[in-house]
Amino acid sequence: MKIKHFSQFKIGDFAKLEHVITENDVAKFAELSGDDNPLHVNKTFAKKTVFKDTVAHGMLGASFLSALIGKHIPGNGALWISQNFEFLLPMRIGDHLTVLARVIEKYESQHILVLETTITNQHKQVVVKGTGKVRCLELEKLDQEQKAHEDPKVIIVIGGSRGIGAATAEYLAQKNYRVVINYSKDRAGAEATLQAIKENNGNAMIYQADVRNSESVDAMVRATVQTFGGVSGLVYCATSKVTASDFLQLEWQDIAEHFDLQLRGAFNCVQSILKEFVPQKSGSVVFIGSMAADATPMLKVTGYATAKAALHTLAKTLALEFGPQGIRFNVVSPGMTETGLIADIPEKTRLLTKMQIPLRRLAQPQDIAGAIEFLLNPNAKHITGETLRIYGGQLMI
Amino acid sequence: MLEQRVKKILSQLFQIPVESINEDTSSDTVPNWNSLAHMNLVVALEEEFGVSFSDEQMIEMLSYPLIVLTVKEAANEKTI
Repeated sequence: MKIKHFSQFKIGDFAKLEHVITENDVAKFAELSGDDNPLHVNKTFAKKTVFKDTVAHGMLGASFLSALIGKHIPGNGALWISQNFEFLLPMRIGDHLTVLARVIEKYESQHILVLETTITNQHKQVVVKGTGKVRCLELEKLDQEQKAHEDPKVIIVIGGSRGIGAATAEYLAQKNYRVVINYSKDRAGAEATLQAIKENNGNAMIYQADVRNSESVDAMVRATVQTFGGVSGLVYCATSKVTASDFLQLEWQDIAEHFDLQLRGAFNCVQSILKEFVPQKSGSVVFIGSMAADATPMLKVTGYATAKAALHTLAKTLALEFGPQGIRFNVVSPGMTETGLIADIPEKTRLLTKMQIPLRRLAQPQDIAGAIEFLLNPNAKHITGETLRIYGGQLMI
Repeated sequence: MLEQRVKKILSQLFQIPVESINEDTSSDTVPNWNSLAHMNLVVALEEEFGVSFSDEQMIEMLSYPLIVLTVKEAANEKTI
């Protein structure tokens, strides 16, 4: 069954049908509705009135609008929610009616079309006019199938050369997304990710861009659109190494480094990708947060944790601002995850952390990738400004 | 060897075969490893290795690998 989506209708779109009223139509309508007023069905009676002949039921003519709305504008999946009529002239048996509905207004938030409805006879006289409202129903499955067709399913993974980024790129490719593997310096890592994707018949490309440079990011987004025909999401995994330092030993540069890569980089990426998302009124962005910035922060990783906390808040402010335009921002916040990022963390700390986690293991990058894919896909279309915690139960809020 | 001595203590205290003790052995997998048994374990380890554990170290020894690391840590502190 084909369903025309609300977004496919424009103001001015119209549909029409034609019908010649027969004696049989009038008889059937009288039987069905119970309206056997002699003005409609008794010629002798009608002759004595000012009309001089039988008059077809006004609602018989109007009923053809139901066919027009239900089958043509908007068609399958339409729900007619209101209508007013003015019956301007009588309709007679033998009249050749043209029934027309034209879109005069659209209510985006409720997917409602306002229709101007007119019925004219063979003499071009308007016999009935009115205004109706029709809701385009979102049939869940059909809508998703249609969206899947329209959605380019192209995701840029920032920091896709290693760790969570690489695992995410591979997982997304397995789920039939086309993936741009961004890297800054680790070309070998990006190529290894690409190779792994290709071995599984996935579709991806690598792209070098320093996210701290807005021109570099703009070029990456343009290249993505050129190669894959569009872009539907971005996953921001770029982060600096976690190193513990006493606060009094820190210099501002140590903090700025984290803010530069995590916050400024995310800022550049979002500014650039919104140029695609805003016109298409869709898009999903996932930032990688951290348990180190959630609730009680991790001790002595001030720069890392503060920048991550800023990223969590950035996702919320963006979710607020761009939610009305159909663009979603969420955070996936991992606990301690087995990646190169924790290479310097002592063995004892890892073992202790495992014992503090109810599921008794550290997260694997694939655990995080699964959560990211969930937030990118249409099943999460009503989730924005949210933080999905992947802590194995270590912190429950 | 330190690891073997730790295993022997765990085996005696919890009445489990030495061969069954591995990296996954922890308070989750040993049924009798309750808070009282844990204090007995701490005392036995202190006597065996001639070390004294801090309060924090006592709480941290929740698995065989953590006990080994903590005993090594305590032994090093003693040397210093």
